[in-house]
Amino acid sequence: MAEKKTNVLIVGAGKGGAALIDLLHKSPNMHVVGIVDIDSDAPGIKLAQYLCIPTGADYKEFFKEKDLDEIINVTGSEKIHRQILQEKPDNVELIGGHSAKLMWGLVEEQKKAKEDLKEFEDNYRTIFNSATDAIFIQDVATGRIVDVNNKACELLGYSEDEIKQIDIGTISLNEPPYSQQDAMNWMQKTISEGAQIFEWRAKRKDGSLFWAEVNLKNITVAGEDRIISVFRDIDKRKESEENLRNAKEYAELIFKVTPSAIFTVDIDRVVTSWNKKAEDITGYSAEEMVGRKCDIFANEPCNEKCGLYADDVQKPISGKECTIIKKDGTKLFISKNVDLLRDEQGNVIGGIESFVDITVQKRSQDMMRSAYTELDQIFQSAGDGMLVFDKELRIVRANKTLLELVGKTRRELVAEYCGKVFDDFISGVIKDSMERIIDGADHVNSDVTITGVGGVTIPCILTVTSFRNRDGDLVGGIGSFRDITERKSAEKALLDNIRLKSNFTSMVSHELRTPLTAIKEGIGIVLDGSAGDINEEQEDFLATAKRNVDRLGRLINDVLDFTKLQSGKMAMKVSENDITAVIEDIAKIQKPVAEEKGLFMKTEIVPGIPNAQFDQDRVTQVIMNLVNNALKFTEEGGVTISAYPKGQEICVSVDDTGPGIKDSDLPKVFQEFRQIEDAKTRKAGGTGLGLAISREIIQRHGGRIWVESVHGKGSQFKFTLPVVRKYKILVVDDEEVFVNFCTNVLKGEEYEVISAGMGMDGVNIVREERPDLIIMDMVLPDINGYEVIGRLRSEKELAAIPVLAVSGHAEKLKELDKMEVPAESSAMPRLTKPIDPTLFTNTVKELLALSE
Amino acid sequence: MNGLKKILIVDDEPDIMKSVSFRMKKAGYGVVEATDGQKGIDMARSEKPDLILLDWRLPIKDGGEVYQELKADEDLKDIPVIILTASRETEALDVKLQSIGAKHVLIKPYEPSELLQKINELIG
Repeated sequence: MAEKKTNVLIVGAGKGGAALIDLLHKSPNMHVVGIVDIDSDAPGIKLAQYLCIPTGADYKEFFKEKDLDEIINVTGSEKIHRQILQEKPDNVELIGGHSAKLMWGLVEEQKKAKEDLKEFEDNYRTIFNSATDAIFIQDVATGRIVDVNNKACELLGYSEDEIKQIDIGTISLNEPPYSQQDAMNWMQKTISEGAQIFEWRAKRKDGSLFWAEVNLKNITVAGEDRIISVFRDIDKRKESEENLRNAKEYAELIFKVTPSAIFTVDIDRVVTSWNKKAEDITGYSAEEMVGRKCDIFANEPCNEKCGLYADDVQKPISGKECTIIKKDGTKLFISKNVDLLRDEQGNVIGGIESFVDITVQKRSQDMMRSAYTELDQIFQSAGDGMLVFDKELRIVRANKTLLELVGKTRRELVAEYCGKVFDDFISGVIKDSMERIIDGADHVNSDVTITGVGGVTIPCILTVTSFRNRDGDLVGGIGSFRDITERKSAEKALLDNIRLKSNFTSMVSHELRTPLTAIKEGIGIVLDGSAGDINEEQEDFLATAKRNVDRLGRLINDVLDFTKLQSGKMAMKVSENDITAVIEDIAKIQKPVAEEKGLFMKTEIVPGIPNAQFDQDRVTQVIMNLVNNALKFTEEGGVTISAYPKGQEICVSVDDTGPGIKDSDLPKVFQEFRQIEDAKTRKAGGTGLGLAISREIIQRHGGRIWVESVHGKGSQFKFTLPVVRKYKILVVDDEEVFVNFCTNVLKGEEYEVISAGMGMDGVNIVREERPDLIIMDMVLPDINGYEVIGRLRSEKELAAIPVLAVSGHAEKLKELDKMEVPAESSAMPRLTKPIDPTLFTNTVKELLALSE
Repeated sequence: MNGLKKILIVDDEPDIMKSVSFRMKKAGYGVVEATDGQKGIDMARSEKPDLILLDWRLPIKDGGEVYQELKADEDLKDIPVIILTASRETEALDVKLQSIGAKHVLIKPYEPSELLQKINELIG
């Protein structure tokens, strides 16, 4: 019977119809053949279409269904009920009216119960899934996971379905004590003893392990024993526990090894810990200190000074310096940091203090301070005005002397730029000096003038030296102003004195000569008979007077000359002069004087004697003096003036046939006022200064003067003068045209050109003549230029002679190319023919200047 | 003109003035005298001498100044001037003499004959 389903047609697809379909289509006993309603959008129609149950608008369509057993009218309409009743086949039963209502109530009730359950289930799911812990529900008998929440999936990396397929071992380390068996044991223990909490090494799908706290409880669901297990990931907690443990170890380590002494106190300032370093520094051991008040080693009541004592101190103090007393009674300087210790709620529960022994630093600081004080005292009391400035020329320090010098206060100077304190000149000097110091100068001295108080000018020497830090880096400069007013005035006095002396000399000269002029005029007028006749005796005496007046005049002149020569005040007008002309002129003038005395006067001058450098007037004076002397002392024979070249000098000799000079007198000859004792000398009216003046003049020319004499046979007064330097140049070339070119271009006063046509000749001539320069064509008929140079370089005395290499014409150049150029000759100066004369002379000049 | 050449002597030393003046007159020259530089210029203008003997060191205006004024004056510039100086500091003096263009210079103490010879050469 049960096999035959009742075929039902539902009329009315409203809420009732829809509920009915929903209820009946799942029913094992009923089969809904269709549902009809005139409203095709009615919920029952929609549901039926969804469930593939035929629908329609007219119930009669379904009367053809052969197995229709029942029609359920849920329209609630009597009219429709009656209509169906009339039209329905007889074998089809109609349910409706009261019966349908009853059924409808039943359906509603069932539905409500279902919804309530759903709501419960939903709520449960929500809670289950939204739990922060992973939750597994396991079957006690099998140990299988029957349900899990989202968190469990998330935690383990499996999907819900996957988890339901695996056992506990899979989501565990699965090694004792975290194996499947261990899990089973825990579950049994839970069932027999109740809830269990333990830590579990769990494993994710990706194989990573984590610590979980597992909470097991047994529950009975629908008569079956279930275990609900709550997993909590405690890796984070584990980690922070580890960190905490590490931190504590670190802290203990630091406490032990730190170079600072560290101790902690409680709220009553009783020491609670005391590290090794604190023991070392204070001499008190931890045993002695812990449990005692920490002020036992304080030097003085430290209530106000110590952060641990000052009640109002609520913030840490650092770097506070104070003194403590060690256990042995000695005093120490310490620098300490203090911080408060608080509990979790932030209440102060004590303090921690660390301190270091700074006694040594303190002492060295004190020493430095006193050294600094000493240096500062020196700086301040220095006689020179001193300032220190930085690289930007900003004044860092200034001493008292400087302040006095410039009439400013320290405040006006310090931190000010030099440019604002000093005038442009001085600040310019400071700037330039610093630049030179940066370039490596050690110090720079300059003459400056400071304008001091009231516009007084003070001449100073400003010395700028570098100012360096400990590492030797330049950080600025030190300027020191030395007041040289006194020196300046001394210099001025000296100059005034010199001027005075010089004036004095010229005054003397003038004042002596003027009366001499008058005397001479007077004597002259009487002597020449202008004022009337005089007798012989009168004439003789007047002549004596005149002679002595003249002598006095000469003496005055000589004294003045000599003074000027010795003081270097007589300027020499040195130029290139021909000595021949000078000598011939003198000989011409003196010849009548000599002849009057019956003496000869001749000259012997070597032809072509080089010009010499001298002051014509002064050398004339010297020769005149020598000739005058010679004529004075010579009674027979005569005087010869000769001149000849002698090395780089010319020599002038004034020879007489006079009495000569005794050997013993020779050294005195050139001394001032040292006339050879001789009546004749006196008679001759010499001043005793002539030779001394001559000596001075010749020495000023860079020459020498001396006398050679054989007593009884005459004297030879000789002096030398430097000649004009003439360079000897050797031209080595077989080409006559080039030799002529050189001779023509280099002819004149400065050069002497000699030549050689062959390489070997060249070498020989160099040996003999020692030229100052060799100009050489490198291609020669016998040996080439490089061989010549090689030979010269091998001889020590010739090696330094410069060589100007000249390259020949085209056909010769080919030969030159074949030659091997020795390395040392490659840098040799070189000119190529044809040579420009100006370039040629300039090159020659340069090479000669270089070799000088 | 009575044929007598006139010499102006400018010198502040009365002894020298006296002897030189005496000698010039003896030699047949007319002599006028001035004892300082300014007077020398004034006398030169008023007397128009044929030759001037000019001392270098003079009161009021020195020989150099007088010389330059004389040479700057159209009427006087052609009068020959012999400068007499007792200074022998040649460098400074040489430069000065050269710069003013002085041609005839005698250093004191000169030979009296030398002076007369020079005058005769110039205006004799």
